Order: sequence, then structure tokens, then C-alpha cells
Amino acid sequence: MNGIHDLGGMHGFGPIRPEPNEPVFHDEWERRVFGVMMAAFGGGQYNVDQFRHAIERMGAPEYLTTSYYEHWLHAMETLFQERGTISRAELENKWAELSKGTA
Amino acid sequence: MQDATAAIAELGISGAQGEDMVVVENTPEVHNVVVCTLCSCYPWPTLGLPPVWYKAAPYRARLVSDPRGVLAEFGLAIPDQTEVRVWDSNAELRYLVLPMRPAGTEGWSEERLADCVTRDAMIGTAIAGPPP
Repeated sequence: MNGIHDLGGMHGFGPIRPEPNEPVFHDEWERRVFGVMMAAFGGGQYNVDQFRHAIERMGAPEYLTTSYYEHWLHAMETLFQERGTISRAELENKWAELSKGTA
Repeated sequence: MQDATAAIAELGISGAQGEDMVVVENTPEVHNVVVCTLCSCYPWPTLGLPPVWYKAAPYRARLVSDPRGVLAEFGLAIPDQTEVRVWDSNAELRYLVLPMRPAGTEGWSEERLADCVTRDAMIGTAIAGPPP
């Protein structure tokens, strides 16, 4: 998979910027994504290789402009749909509810 | 050094994302530093979850081509005559850096020595030193 994730040696990403006293999760949604990912893994929705591959299939612009746990969320949305665990329609309905604040 | 997975397990540390461990030892001749260029492979049971900088593009891209430049960004100046070795973790294998014992710690207890070691020293972006 010769995807954008294969970053070793690439130029142009700028300084590293470690965060002092960095929290484990920067927001509650990250903690929930972590938990759901682990629960779904334990429940056999995917193995770790499938999970990484779903991230590697993200597409370069989105991969580079989204955060680590957004990558995890994207992978779960991809894999759950591909497995038939959820449907595209369910996802779109929920997004619509959330953006209207009616969820 | 011969069987890191077993040695670490003796301390009660083992499990997911740390099933296969290799320890690389810092010496005056060699400074080791670890990355996962493809994703974020990291020894969770030993070090917890990795920091954002370890998982983000700048570190993953640049450590393998300019390790001394990256280490300098972390405030670490490795002497020219010391070799810098970069280890690229993978899905099956996790690396842990064994920092050099700081000078002046002869006879210190395990607990006191442990206070000298930071997470970054076990990644290789810092060295062990006497606690402040």
C-alpha cells in the first residue's frame, strides 16, 4: 500500500512541537473513540491490520489534515459500513441530526 | 537484553501492543531513538499511550532522514563521534531504549534510579539524568 501514511523521509512537515504536560486525551470525544475502537476490536469487528489498512485508505489530503483520533473514527466508519454493522444511511441521518442539534 | 519481552513481563508488564519487545541499549558509542514511520506503533504496556508528537507527520517523516536535527529540537545534542541509530517499529515488534546510567549514581537504589528515567528517555528523544 503505497499511501500517504508512508511518511519516512518526506520533506515539508515542519517542526515537531511536543506539548508540555500533554493530556492522554485532548477531548472527551477522543477518549470515547478510543473506548469504542477497543470494544469493537474485542467484539471481532476487525483486527489491527484491517484497522490500520482502513486508515491507510483514507486519501492523502484528509489523512494529513485530520488528527490521530479522527483517523480512528474514519477507520471505524469505513469498517462498520463494509461489514454491514451500520449503513451509510444510518450514518448520514445521525450526522444530519447532530448538525441540527436534534440528536 | 537477550529477552526483553520476558524481562519486562517479570515486572508484571505485558499485553496488547507490547507482545514482542526488543530493548536497544544506549552507550557512549551509540544513541538509539525509536519511531513508527507508518503509523504509531509504540510499546503501550510499558510506556502507556504515545504522545501526539510521536504519531504526527513531522516526527515520523524526519527522524529517519535527519535524526540529529530532530534530537536537537528536543534539546539533545549527540556528539559527532557517537553513532545515532534509528529504529522503525512495526506492527509486530516494539522497541524500548535503555538509557545510559547517569554519572554519579553509583550505589543508588532501583527506585532512585527509576526517578532518573523519563518516557522520552525510553523513546530516545531524551537522556536519563538525576531528577531535578
